[in-house]
Amino acid sequence: MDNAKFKRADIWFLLVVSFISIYLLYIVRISEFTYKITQDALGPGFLPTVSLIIVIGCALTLITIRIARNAEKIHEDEMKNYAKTTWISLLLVIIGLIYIYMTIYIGLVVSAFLALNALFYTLGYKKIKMMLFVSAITSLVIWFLFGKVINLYLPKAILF
Amino acid sequence: MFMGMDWSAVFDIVFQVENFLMIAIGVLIGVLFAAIPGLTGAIAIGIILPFTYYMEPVPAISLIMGIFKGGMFGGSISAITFGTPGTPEAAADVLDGYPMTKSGRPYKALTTALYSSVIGELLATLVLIFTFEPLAEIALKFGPRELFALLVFALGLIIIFAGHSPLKALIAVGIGMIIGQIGTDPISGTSRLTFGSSFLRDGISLIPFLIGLFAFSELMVQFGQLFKKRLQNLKEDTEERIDFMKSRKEDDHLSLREFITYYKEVLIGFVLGTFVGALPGPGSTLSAYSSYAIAQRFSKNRENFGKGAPQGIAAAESGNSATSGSTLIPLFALGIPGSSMAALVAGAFMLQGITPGPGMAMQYSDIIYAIFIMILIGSFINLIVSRFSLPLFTRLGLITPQVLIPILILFCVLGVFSYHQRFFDVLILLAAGFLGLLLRKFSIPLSPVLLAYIVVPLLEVNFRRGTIISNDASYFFSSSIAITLYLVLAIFLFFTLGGMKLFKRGEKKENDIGKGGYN
Repeated sequence: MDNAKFKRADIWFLLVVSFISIYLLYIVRISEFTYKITQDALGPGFLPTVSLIIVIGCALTLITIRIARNAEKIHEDEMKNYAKTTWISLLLVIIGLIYIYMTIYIGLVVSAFLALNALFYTLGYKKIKMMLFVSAITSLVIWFLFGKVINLYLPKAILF
Repeated sequence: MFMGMDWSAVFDIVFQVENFLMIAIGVLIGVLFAAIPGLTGAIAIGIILPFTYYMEPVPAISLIMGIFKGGMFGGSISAITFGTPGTPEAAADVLDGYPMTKSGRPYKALTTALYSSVIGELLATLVLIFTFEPLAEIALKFGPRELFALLVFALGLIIIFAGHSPLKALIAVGIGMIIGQIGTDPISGTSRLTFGSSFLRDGISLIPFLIGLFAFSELMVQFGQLFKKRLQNLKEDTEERIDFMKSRKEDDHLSLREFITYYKEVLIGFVLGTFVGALPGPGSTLSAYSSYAIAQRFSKNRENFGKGAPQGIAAAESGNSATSGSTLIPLFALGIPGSSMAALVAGAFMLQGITPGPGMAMQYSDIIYAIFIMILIGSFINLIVSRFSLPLFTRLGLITPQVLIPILILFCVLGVFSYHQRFFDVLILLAAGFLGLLLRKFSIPLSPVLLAYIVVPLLEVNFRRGTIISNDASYFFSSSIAITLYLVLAIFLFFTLGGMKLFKRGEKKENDIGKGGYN
């Protein structure tokens, strides 16, 4: 039925999904709202319960198939690369959060300039003059578009 | 409705300079994004979407539809000129387009792709216009059991068609359903899965979630890959790419008379693309490849397919683009977005306060028909803009992504923040982006997550209303429409899973005789 390729990393991911779903199922079951509101009509807990059971059931089935087939193992170097690209992508989440905080506290233009340079630097862009020029131009475009055209409301920042 | 419509009011809405300008800008943005490998029309819509909040409905939807149309053709540019498809659905264009470029006929390949794309989407848009209202009228008569059956049918199809693994698609549906149920229960008003957060009580907002899941996660993937390249010191082979464009032959042009001879391939693509696009799940990639395979089977020139036959490009591109019109049929007529692009278009409508679905034609008939006319006009604008900008577009694949990706990331984050100016929306964007990244890494399809997230409130309301009306489960099987839908779904399930077994058996046989599997 299932012809996808399985790898060891898949099992870890599916296990994490299963544990989160089991935890949520526990939350749903102990919540104040009930499975049924009257003897026959279904309550707010019904569909979340069904959804979580679907996820847990499918994840566990996939894990079982994986173990039964004893399928391929990811090469160690590939696994390292895999983890590295995931972590570096996660770095974006952190930069995104810092960027929005900076926008609120130090202003739209300066934060865009700093965030862009941080991203260029992370990607190994080596032409410094070009990097500064592109960041400056983009920051000004952002300021004009969000600050003047859209009139984005932002709390008063230290810099503009 | 066609007869009773106040057409003068519709044309008053349509003939505004702003609308034409927006659709032309949209086409340019769509082609620009899709022509750069790694970026897609979906990313472009994701970044532009929050800005449409500040616009009137018709120019806003015109802009989004322009991007949609431009994005359908744009993917073929880098597929043909560099052999690297700009979007997944343009991969079928590489088969014949790149050999044509290598043999000194890139412009002939590109114009074949453009004309086929425009004709495919134009015809499919006409199908959308003429089927939308009759289907919507039927859907308006549906009660809870029929609506429930319809939503189960849509979810069932997306599980069958999305990706190689139905189990992974089912996990995706489950995840989408859970995310869609966060917030206040639609019947009793109780808070669910909110963990006491007042922000979560309103549920997960569509726009940040949509942009995060599709656009931001893709940007994260691109960012990760660029970083990997940096570590491995890899360089792009752009120098080699330019040479192919310089060595054009004298006969590198397509006459109208010659293009007319490809009518059979274009029609095959249109018919198949329209059918596949109207089903939730399969998507334009399947349509492009199926059209290519069928056109090859019925072509007199079949031995040249894969070696640089323009007929192959015509079939693949028409099949791919025809889905752009028909994928909106279930969205407009039934309120079900069958693809990620349809979900993004749904988001654009919702930002304008219009909920796509059968009631839309009644409430906003003049606006809807004005949008339909703009979509039709958009096909011609796409033709003009893309035709005259082809020399520029062929150079787009040479843009350094190291510069582009950070700028797009910033626009994505600020765009979502500008929508409601809530920090919480940015958190949703980043969390949805990370979820999308994980799902992509583990080959779990994204479109079932989104479809389930969008339809689950409607599914739940109709299911629970049904249980209130009748306390017997047989109520859901007591309508001929519902039974028909369940039967059709069962037939699809039977044939698809049967087909998968045959496919696996064939793959095993190929491996046994040492030829390798199917690619």
